[in-house]
Amino acid sequence: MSYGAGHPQSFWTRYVWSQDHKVIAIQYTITALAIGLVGLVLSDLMRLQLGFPGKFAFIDASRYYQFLTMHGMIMVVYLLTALFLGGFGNYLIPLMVGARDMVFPFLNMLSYWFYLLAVLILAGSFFVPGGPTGAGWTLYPPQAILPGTPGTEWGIIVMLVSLLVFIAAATMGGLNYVTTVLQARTTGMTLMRMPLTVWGIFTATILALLAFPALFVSGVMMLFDKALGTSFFVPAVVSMGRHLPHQGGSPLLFQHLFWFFGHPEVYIVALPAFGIISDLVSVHARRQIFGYKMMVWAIVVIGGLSFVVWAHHMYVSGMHPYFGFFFATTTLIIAVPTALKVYNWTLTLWRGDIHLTVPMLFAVGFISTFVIGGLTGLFLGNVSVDIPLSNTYFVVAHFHMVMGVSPVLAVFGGLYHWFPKVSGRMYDVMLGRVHFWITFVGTYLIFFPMHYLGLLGMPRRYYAYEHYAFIPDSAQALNAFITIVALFVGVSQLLFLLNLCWSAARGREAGGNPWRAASLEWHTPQTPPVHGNWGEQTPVVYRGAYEYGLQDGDSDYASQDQPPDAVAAGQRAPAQEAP
Amino acid sequence: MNPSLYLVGSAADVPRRRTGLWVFMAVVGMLFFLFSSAYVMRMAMPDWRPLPFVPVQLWLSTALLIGASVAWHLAWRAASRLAYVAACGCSLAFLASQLWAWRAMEAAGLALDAGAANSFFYLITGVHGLHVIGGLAVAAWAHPRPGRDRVTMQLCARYWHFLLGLWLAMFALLFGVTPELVNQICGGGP
Repeated sequence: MSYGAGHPQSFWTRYVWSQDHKVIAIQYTITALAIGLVGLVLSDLMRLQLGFPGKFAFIDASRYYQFLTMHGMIMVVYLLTALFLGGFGNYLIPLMVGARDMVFPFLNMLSYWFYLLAVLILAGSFFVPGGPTGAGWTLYPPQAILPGTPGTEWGIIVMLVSLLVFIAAATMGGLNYVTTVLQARTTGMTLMRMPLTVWGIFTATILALLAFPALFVSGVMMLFDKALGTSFFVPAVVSMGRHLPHQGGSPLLFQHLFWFFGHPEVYIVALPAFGIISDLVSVHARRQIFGYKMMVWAIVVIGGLSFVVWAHHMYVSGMHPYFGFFFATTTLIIAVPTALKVYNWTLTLWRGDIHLTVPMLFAVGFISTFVIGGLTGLFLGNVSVDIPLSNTYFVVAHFHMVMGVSPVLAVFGGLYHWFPKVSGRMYDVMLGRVHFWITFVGTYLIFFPMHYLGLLGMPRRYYAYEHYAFIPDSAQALNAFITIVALFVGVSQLLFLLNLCWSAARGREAGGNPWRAASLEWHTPQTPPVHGNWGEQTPVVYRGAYEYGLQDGDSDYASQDQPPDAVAAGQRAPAQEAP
Repeated sequence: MNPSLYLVGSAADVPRRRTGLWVFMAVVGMLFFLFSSAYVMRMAMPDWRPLPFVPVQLWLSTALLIGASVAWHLAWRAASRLAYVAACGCSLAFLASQLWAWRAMEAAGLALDAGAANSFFYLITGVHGLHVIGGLAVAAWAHPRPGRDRVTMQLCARYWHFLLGLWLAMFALLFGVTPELVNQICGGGP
């Protein structure tokens, strides 16, 4: 084995066609944040119409539905999935398990370039004739491919092709993450010593590998229906006064396939967030994570259960009552391991030495928003409660709290937490705090009132709400308020970008381990870590990732590579030859 | 060659490649499982007309794929160059035979959009064929020297056994699973 023997690297091989997992992670992160910014602007455009209907003439009904569709798809798939797995997964897995890189670096590079291609194809759909699809992010047929829905000419095809390319990218990345965790852990890094971030990303990747094929199958079959005249999903339809050649297709079949992907997708986004929050809470409260084994099993059980709850998205599509009973039961059972995680975070904080750093603020914020969103999930998991609420803003409030705001808070917390390792510099703390409070309070002000709008019966997905007798004027006033807050919170995200850009260039030097954290990524010989991560030898691991609160002189923690007999002396591990 | 390829010792490489292939086969297995589920669910719709006959070319395809699978096994076990060439040849012939079967179906008036069962036939055989092509591309790209690179041979053999199993399952699904059978197994609920 040879390492680092004079890499003859130009700018291009180093930063563009790089096979270094850290560079690929940064590429993934920047691309995801860029397309996520587009998704954010789209949401504010929707809010303009909802808050001040008719005032902005360029937002007509078609545009509104296109914004809605693209916002949903971008945020769920192209921002959160890519950022958690491609961004955090790529950066953290090899560093946290003590590997030199992903096991298939070339495939890893390919994964990023396919992802970028998928993003560019998706962005291209704004420029095709007829614009992007306006079918809603669930793309339900037959309406997604029939005239009358915006973007049926080209938009839907471009969207489906982009998704297929994205799935190829996610599969290439996923093969790497899973194989790296299984086969490239360093000496002593048992599965039950891995940081929970790795457990979350690992489990989420398995979900992604097994769930994305369902989206692939439904996407390919819909493309066939649209372009080649098959009838997988489209029944016999009279559209615009003429009979279409389709017959006998089953829209319900699409819904089953879509949600067999769609529900695990929720946990593809949530499990890495759970892991990251666990690490943040433990490090910044200087306490061992409460119930590490429970936390691991909770992640695994949630991952398993997420495959048998998909039809709770389809209660209103009609189903056999026994099916509804089954899916309601499995859905409510998921609350058990999830609540267990929340209790464990709280118990970790309890009597901890809490440092309200910016990552910690975001972590605590996450616990709050996640509990709110999770509780309304219990409402909606029941068939009889879901049916009247399903088509209202209550659902919008629920899923934005639980899988919009919460994962985004985890993303911000994670980015602030690992920023010193990635850049070698500290972010601006004041800007970070302002960013947190605006985002946290702002998102509550945006989404909490939506629960009330939903209980009023205000339907979701509508373009305009005039002339509905059952919607009082006060609902419009509330909508205007939400819009104003949403615009303010949207613009404030520039603070975050400003902070990252400015601090990456001008921030103060952070040192190798500013948080006094125990996991391996903080103990690299260089900061930022160089290609190959570990110098001549990979580290040897002697303990779990959460040994905090062991007061010993100046140090109150034991890093994972600190040998047992060196704890007292406060020494670091002697370098050993890796196998 | 990129220096990062040297970052990992070649001895550690073998279990990684094995694991990688197993994970990949799990993903592909899931893909075909979901295609099969969609097939069975679509079958419940009233317009379903099963495929009327088995194109003889498919039996030839099956024989060729069995041949490829056996040849890969020999290429691994006996480290035979000839077996490697035979495996690739059989796989290419398999693809040609599948295309021939498509032509025969079309000639019989069973085009892609003529009925849901036909659509599934082209879709599933097509996706399976793409996975054979992918396997061939990797086998060629890995540029194996049968004497020296036994691991690549073994992994190719394993992947082709998997492709064969997948093909037999899909063959049985497309022509053996009828609405009556599905009804017998899944029907009669409360």
